[in-house]
Amino acid sequence: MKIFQIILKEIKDSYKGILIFTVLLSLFFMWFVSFYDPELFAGMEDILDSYPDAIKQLVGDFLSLTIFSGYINVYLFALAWFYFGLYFIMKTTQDIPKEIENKTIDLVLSKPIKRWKFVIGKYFHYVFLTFFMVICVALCFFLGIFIFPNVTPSEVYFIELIVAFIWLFVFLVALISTSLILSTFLKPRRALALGLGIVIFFYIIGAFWENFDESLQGIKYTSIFYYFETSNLLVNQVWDNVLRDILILTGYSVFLVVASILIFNRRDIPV
Amino acid sequence: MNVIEVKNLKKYYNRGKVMGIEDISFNVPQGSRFGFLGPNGAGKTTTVRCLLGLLQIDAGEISIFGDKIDPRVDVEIRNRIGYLPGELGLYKDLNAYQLINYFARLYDVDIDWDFIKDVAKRLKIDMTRKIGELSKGNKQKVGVLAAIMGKFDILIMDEPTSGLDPLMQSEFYRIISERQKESNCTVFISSHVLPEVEKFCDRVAIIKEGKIVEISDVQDLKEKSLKKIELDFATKSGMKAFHSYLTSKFPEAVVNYSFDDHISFLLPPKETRDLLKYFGEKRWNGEEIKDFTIQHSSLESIFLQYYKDTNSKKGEIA
Repeated sequence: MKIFQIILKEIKDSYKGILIFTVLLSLFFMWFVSFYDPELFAGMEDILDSYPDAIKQLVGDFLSLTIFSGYINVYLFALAWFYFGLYFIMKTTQDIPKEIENKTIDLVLSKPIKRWKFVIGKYFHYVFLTFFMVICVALCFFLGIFIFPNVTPSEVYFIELIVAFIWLFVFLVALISTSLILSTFLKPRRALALGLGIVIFFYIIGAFWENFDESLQGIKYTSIFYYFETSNLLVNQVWDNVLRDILILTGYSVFLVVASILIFNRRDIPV
Repeated sequence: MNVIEVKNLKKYYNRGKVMGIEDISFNVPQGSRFGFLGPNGAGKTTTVRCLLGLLQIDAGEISIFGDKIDPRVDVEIRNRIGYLPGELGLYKDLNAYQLINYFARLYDVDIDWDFIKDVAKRLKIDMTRKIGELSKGNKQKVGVLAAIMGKFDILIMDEPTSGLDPLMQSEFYRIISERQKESNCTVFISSHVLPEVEKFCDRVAIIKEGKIVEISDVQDLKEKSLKKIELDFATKSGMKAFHSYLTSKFPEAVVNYSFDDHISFLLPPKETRDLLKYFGEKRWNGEEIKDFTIQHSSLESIFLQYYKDTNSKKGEIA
């Protein structure tokens, strides 16, 4: 199975970096759990309530900070694209362009391997690493809930948190898919710049679309951040649109991967 | 049987703005040693990359082992092809063993590890050292090893001896020759090192500005090329008289230089024979001519002539 060989080789190449990053991120999530103090946040309510709505949106839903799930939603899930996403955007946008730049792709693609298998191998290696990282971080996070005395496990909505982590994984895969398509036709620097630009653009739309002119608010549907809004699930335990959004993000990823393969199949591998 | 047949191959870059190759046609017979010659930018590498499906061709046909193929789609054929790129890129964090092992898994055929170990030993490759730590020459050896790792029917090599010291170059050609004897594989070499090609290849194609300008057996090419003739006369007046005779009787002759009693000129093979007849009739022998030499053109001088004179006709080259 040649796809498996590509995945295996890529994992061997990058496992050290991923392990270090995973450990750091897991500790970071645990630290956030230990940092939770409901009394402190409750005391801030009066001050924060006087802030304009736009500012509140900018820094998160303050009122929800008084419950653990809300706190986690604001500081971890709403910013997960920053913690996890940037790393994978940087890695994915550079991967195939670097292979072309370093000419290592010549020897690989001169072997009896179809190009789509090469692209899929590269892609699934990131999907696997993302899965591994989210699982590790989630386990450490849940461990933190039971270890640190400031959180009462009986008050935590575990099912919603597990689904939020699954949702996060699907969202991160969508970010990787966005980076992948750029990597199939751009040079390393351009792919990285455009990848970061697109994600920040998506974030701005996804976070602030309610402040746009009403006629422009339809733009929210173009941002993948619009389909990763965990606050309702975590704070209010409302499951509306969760499955819909997960399916839309999955469809988005499938579409981009197919497009990446089509683009990469047609492109020249220059000298 | 031709193992590679290329017909009217055309490839342009930058959406048709930059010409890569214009009209490339050639056949490579099975078991032959085919040299593909041309300076930088002539289209050698473009042709090779089209053959391997790394570039999409704009027009033309490629047949391998008699079957017309689309090299980008029909990847199974690459199970029978070993390739060494001109600009070699290897994974720096792997060692040679890991690299070969990785490539071996991308093939659908069995890889002869005993052969790989033997070649590694002969080329003095440290299989356990990271490729990033190797010198250019040693990286090239790893590339060579990767190209010949299987019992391939075709070996396509772009500048195979680049960076190898003379001893390793000889060893490389010995290994390739042995491999060819053993399996009757076809060797396609693209190179600038013309003496090597002359020594190793039995057939060559010369590419210029994206077009094939000559394709011939090396021996035929040398035989039909201009001969370089140098004469030393007993007197200056004798040389002058010969000079006049030469230019009037043989308008195809190209005089390189003449001074005092010495003259150097180029002449096509047939005219050279006619000239020798005159010598046989004692027109300018004996006391008139003290010494003369006739040299065959080297592949290098043939190649250079193609690039010096765009109006050269086939066979009138030196």
